[in-house]
Amino acid sequence: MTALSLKLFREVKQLRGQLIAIVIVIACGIANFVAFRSVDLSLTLTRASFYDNYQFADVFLTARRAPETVGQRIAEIPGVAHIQTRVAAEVMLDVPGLSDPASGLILSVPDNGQPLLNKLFLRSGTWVTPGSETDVIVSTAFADAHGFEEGDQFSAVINGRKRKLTIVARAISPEHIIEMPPGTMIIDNKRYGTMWMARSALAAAYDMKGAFNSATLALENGADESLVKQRVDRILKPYGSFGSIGRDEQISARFLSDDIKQVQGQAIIVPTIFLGVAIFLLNIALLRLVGTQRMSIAILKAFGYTRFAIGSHYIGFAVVAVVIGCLLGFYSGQYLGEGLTSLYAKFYRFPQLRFDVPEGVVFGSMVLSLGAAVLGAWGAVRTVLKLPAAEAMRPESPRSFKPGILERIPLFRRLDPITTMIWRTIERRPMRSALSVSMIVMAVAILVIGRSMFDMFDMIIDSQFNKSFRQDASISFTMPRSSSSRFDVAHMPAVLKAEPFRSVPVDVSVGAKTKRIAIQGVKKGQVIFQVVNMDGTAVEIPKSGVVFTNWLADGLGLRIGDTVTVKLLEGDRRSLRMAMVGTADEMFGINGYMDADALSGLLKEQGSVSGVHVLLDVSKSDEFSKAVKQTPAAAGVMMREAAIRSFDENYAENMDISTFYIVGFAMIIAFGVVYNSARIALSERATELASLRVLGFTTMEITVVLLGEQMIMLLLALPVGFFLGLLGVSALPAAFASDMFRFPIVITSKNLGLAVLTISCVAVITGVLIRRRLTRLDLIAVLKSRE
Amino acid sequence: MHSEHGDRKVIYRIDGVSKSYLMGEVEVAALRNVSATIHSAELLVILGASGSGKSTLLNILGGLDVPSSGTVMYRNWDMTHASETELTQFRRKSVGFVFQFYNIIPSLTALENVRLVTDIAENAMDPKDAMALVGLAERMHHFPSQMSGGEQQRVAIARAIAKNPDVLLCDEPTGALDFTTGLMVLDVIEKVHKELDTTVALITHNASIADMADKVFRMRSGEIIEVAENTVRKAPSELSW
Repeated sequence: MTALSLKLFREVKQLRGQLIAIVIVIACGIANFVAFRSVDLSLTLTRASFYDNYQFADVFLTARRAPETVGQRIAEIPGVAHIQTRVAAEVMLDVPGLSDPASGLILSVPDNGQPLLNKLFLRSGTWVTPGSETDVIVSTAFADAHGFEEGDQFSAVINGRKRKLTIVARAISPEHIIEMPPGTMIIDNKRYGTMWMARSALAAAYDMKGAFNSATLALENGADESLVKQRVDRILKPYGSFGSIGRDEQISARFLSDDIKQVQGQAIIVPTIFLGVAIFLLNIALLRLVGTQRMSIAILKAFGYTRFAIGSHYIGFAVVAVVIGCLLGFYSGQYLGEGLTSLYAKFYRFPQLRFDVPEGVVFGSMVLSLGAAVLGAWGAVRTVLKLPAAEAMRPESPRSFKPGILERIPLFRRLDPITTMIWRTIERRPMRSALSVSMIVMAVAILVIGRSMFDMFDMIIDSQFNKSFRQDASISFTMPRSSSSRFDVAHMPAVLKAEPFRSVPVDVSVGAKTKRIAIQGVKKGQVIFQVVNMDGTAVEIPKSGVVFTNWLADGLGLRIGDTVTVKLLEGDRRSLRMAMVGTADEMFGINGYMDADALSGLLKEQGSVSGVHVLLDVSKSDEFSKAVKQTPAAAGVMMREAAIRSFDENYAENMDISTFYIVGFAMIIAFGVVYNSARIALSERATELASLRVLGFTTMEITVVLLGEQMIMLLLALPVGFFLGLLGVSALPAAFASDMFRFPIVITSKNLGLAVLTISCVAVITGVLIRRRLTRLDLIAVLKSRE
Repeated sequence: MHSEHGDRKVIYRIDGVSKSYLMGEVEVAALRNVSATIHSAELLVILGASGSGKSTLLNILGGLDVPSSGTVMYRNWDMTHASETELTQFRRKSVGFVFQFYNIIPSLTALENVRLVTDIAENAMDPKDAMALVGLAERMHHFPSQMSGGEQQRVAIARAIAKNPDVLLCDEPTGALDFTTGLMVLDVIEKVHKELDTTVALITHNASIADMADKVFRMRSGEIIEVAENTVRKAPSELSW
């Protein structure tokens, strides 16, 4: 080992406190890079090969009922490579052991084997017996949620008839990697599942022999998707087309690609933040080190060491921190990545999802860390290399101070000397102070934004489920029924009050824009269902005209008083012009509301109902669930309690884990910055502090002098961080809003409190560590030395 | 407390004090069995070469260090067994320090450096008066980086005496200064000593300075080898080296 490496080795030991703080920050950056980048690559690759190998379709279409010959016409459209027609149905399920009603999507598969498109990966079991009315293949997620195995049974209401189904296989389809009930954003594998049955049996049940109501297409390479979709829609129009969609609108594919995009974002943003902080910390630490070692540098130069040798020596400090941080980050990144992968594997049931760190990621993390080391060290090393040996031999000229900007304000002129000292030290290096503050600001903002998501979920549960949804349950019928069915529902067990509603699917168009929604009739004076804004206020439904969810109105560019084209998708299916007379600021879905009588008039019918909202005796709601499952006419039921339970089950655990990470990351950043700047301040001001001790100041008093600077920075950072966090939080709803769901802006005092608590913890830990050093301050040695 | 010095009281009684340091693995004796007395309102010069133990003695007198053995009584108080808190309070109330390298706070102006001390002392003088006493009334709003070495040392003296200390301890106060500036600083020290009746202990390796003292301790290898009293004291302006 050369003498210079020995020097490096020993001095690294002396600087270990600061280096450890920097190492942790680097390790966090690299760990996040390794974990997220690897997960990103493995998800992307796995998805690509799954889509490829199992023939994931390009276009998806649905109609009311179209003869097979129409399928052949579609197959002839230029650009279409294959078509697979099928029968699809949303059904109510009665699953043993689950008191809540569940629902599912049944798709047909060819009796004698795999479909052409969206092939199934059979995790276990065998194909359905041709013609079997009971054999069913279920999605792995649904099976796992209930612990189902082959041979297990459950019931489904198929076209009004309750049937017992027997599981013959568990499968995964590229079309249903994510399974969500239509119109919700909640993944709940217990209460919603996808399943497959033999085409002949399902077609018989739904009167679809020689016909289909759903189909998927594979396109030829280079085919124009939008052109194909236009032609398909034209062909299907007479058959009750619901419009065709591409992969970008297909729920599972979209959800998955959004999620991968998010992972990709994380792989860039999180490491950038941490490495940015690390570069800054390395820079200030090395600048200080070089400052204290001017003499040694001069001597080395005098001995004839080259600039390169001396420069590399000091870069060596950064390299040591970075190599350790990189190794640590690399291994914890693998750990984190495995954790993330198993989390994703729970959501995405790919045939296989393996975590491994590709060579590119290993190389990338090395390049990133070394880049950080050089960037961090360069500024410091450059200043020293430029110094001629003789000048370096002289001690650094005394630090010069000026009265600060703040002191031009009369109030601040009266500050005591200690506060003046603290403030001038901050003002003397405005850039460094500003950078330190902005990093703490970032930590605070991360906390505020991160936590606001959870406050939002809390708020949704509280406000939406507890306040806005007055109905304990809503049953919707497969077909509109006579008004007397409300009495059938009213007589079901546990029902205290029943209120029928009529809802009709329509296409709303303005110019070229069209949206498919349901318009619900609202009767004046009805008590259970009310249209409620996000802030809890009720929305008045006028006698004529239509009220839309404001997200829909904005999307269509509508203002109150504007006229829209409404095409009824029931009855005579006619188009008419209507005025939008109001908007409702709703969280879920896009809806339209009309006066109930006006809607009946429009439909030229009297009192038919699409469903019933009910109030329940909650203690007996299980009996109600049981009864609903036996009701063939029910197409679906939304139960408030079950919805809250599902929300809780699916998000509570994730929230805890995420909070832990967010708080941890924010603390590491804040601690790295605060501790390092305190250590540097200690080194710069040791003489000053020792002088104060000699003058009779207590250890506590000099701790205040030293940490006052850090405290002021923290106090400055908190409000700015809050502000930035709030900006971020208010930008979130806009960024995430969709037809399915809109976020409210939620900021709670709990959230801000957590930020204050986290930052206070950092302050206390730093205080304790630094105070220990101050108690050990060697007064005599410090006073004897010249700097 | 009566003494051989007429009506002057003994302020420090040093009895058999030894101090050794561990320098790495070697034990170095800085003071060996030193005994002496210092009287109030006395100007004492401790003279010795580097390594003679004079700074160690001064640090013990100022409560910055404690002896390995022996006792030091400040008035009736046994400093040797005092706690860190008591020593801090002692420095806060009773002692003023002046060092070779001034050790004034660069981020505070001259006046603010003095206020630093008067803010925490019990019967401090007006900081401006302290500045006037050292002849820096005109420059009190300057920052250390805007002052010469001599001026900085005078700020350090003003800061040391502003609390009206019983004892002023000066460790090589002229060590970093040129001759003329050094004399000016000594002049200020003597002025303070005379006008405020402060006990002064000044250490130096410069034998000429001994001529301005009431009493001189000559030290070598951790021992006081000679105690001399000047019957005639020279004014700093009469000194030369």
